[in-house]
Amino acid sequence: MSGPTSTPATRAIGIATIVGLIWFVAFGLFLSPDDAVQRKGVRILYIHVPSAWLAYLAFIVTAVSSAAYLWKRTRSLTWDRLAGASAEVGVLFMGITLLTGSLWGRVSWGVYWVWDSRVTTTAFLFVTYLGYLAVRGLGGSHEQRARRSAVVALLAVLEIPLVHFSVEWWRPLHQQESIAKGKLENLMLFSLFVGVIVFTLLYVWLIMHRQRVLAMQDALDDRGLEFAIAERRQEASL
Amino acid sequence: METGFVVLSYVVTFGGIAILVAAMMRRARSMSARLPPEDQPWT
Repeated sequence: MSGPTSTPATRAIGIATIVGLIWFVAFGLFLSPDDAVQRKGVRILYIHVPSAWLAYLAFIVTAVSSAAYLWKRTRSLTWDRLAGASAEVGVLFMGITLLTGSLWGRVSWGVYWVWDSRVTTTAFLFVTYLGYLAVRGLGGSHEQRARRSAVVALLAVLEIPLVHFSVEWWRPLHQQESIAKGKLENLMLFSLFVGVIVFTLLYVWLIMHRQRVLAMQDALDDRGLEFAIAERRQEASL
Repeated sequence: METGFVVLSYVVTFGGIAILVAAMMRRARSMSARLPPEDQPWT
């Protein structure tokens, strides 16, 4: 928990996250009952749904931070680093969403993968944000990186409504909204709720650390450039 | 068989998070050692 990017705030959030994760696993694996239809498979949904929620949240934060960078009044590389950190965490959780969804599909449908609208658009969103991270890794100054990736982030976020409403628009094999339709009750709904809260805390903790790591990376890049320029000047003066 | 898939989904999730956190902390320690405190204003 303690490290060079830690502060009292991150330590407090970190401890709350660990306690929450223990509670979440206890409810998800042991305390909540099996579902009448999905049996034990419902326990995968306690991870799958919060992961998907977190990936959406992370990508929306990336878009908002990118817009804040592009707007001249609020332009700061801090926004760009927040966007990058959020996208990295979002990609991790989108990957978890796809993997746990695949395992849930094997339990419920008998297959790991189907090319239905929800699964396909989710995979497309995942690949899009991998592309966003690749764009961030292209060369150039910090400002060039920030401007280029901010434009990509604002385009990529448009896919989220497509993924979210795909179950309404195309009626795929993927089930529709379980919570909104009141299909989960009592301890099951509570376990899912605990998952959403705990994963959100984890997200906050991760991006606080990650954007500080990115700030250090930028500072090291700047210092490396300053050192290279000084070295060249010294060579030229000889 | 269902139990195996359920456990695997939790292992994949928490394993993935643990790997990310470990890599991030290792990188943070290595970079922090090469930077002066003014480049780490949160400290």
